[in-house]
Amino acid sequence: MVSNTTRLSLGSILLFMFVACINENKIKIKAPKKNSLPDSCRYYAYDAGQIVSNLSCYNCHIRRGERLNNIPSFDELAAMDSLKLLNFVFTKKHNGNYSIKGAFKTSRMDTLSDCEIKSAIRYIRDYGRDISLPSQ
Amino acid sequence: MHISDNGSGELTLYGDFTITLKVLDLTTNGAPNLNSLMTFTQQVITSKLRGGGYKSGVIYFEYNSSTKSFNFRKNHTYSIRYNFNCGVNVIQINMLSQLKGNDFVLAVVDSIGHQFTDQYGKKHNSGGLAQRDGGPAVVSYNEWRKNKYIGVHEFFHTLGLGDIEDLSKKDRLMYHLGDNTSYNISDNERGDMMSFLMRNISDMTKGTYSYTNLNFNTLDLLRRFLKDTTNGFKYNKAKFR
Repeated sequence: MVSNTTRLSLGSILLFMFVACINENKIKIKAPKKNSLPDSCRYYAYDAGQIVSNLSCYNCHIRRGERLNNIPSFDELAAMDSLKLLNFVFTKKHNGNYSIKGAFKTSRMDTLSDCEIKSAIRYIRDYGRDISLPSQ
Repeated sequence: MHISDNGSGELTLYGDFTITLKVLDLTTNGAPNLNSLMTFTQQVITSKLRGGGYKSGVIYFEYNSSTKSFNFRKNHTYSIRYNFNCGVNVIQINMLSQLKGNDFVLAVVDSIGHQFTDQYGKKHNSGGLAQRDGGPAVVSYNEWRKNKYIGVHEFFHTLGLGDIEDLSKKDRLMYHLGDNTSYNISDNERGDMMSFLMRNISDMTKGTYSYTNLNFNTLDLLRRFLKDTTNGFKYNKAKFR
């Protein structure tokens, strides 16, 4: 029983992680190490938003409420914890198409610095937090 | 709505949108200048969305212009021109029953107690507050009178844009530290808003579709937004029942 449940859970996770826009292989991005980021790595929501916008994430990861071609929506990404997000978005997924030799090398993800990756992850996570945007 | 492929990696998206922004006056003593502020807001939104948007390096699925459909097994990098005509209506509503499921809403309140600290460490009062990507927007009536662009700024958060604090970009409408030199929108920002409005490119191949602005319950979101004590909204609660 326990084994079946475990198998089922693993199957669901694998199925969930399988979906992405792209079909190729390998992307190598170093995971940001804890405490290794320079002090100058500050979070600027606008800049992080530009990273997400320029990578055209929203075209495949539709913002809320529906999946395109069974690709997780953006709010589903926001619900993932940071480590899972790092693996899902930057390390394992997109199958290398955004890398130096990938089909979309002009939008390379592996040129993002650790700080940019950290910022993009925070931006995605913040998406699910309904943070108020003020103006003077 | 339709898509045109020039065969050299550029898709042009054509279509007509009608955007309706519903303004809800929650001020205690009324807002005598509300009509002129709404007219101004409608004009500015219309002009800022005019001319379409442009985004390059957009990775999506390959478009087949003969079948007018996307191939979900093959990717392609495109430049996209958003050639949309956006009709904009900014209308006042007097009853909550006029606020339906996924409407865009701008509530006008007496004042906003919320303060924010910019990236330079300076504290500011908030003249407006919004939740991005389809969420409700709120402006303080007095601050709106002082800065007529606040209504547009907040609404553009609703359409997905973020705030700018870079001092070299004081000429941008989304710069939010109060000392703007102008109120420009970049092609990229326009493209982001068009992309938000369109939501899903592949839906465009299905002909005319009714845009449902995300699966939001605007009234419930606005209620929670107004009740959130960290926002410090002061308004006539009797008008929101």
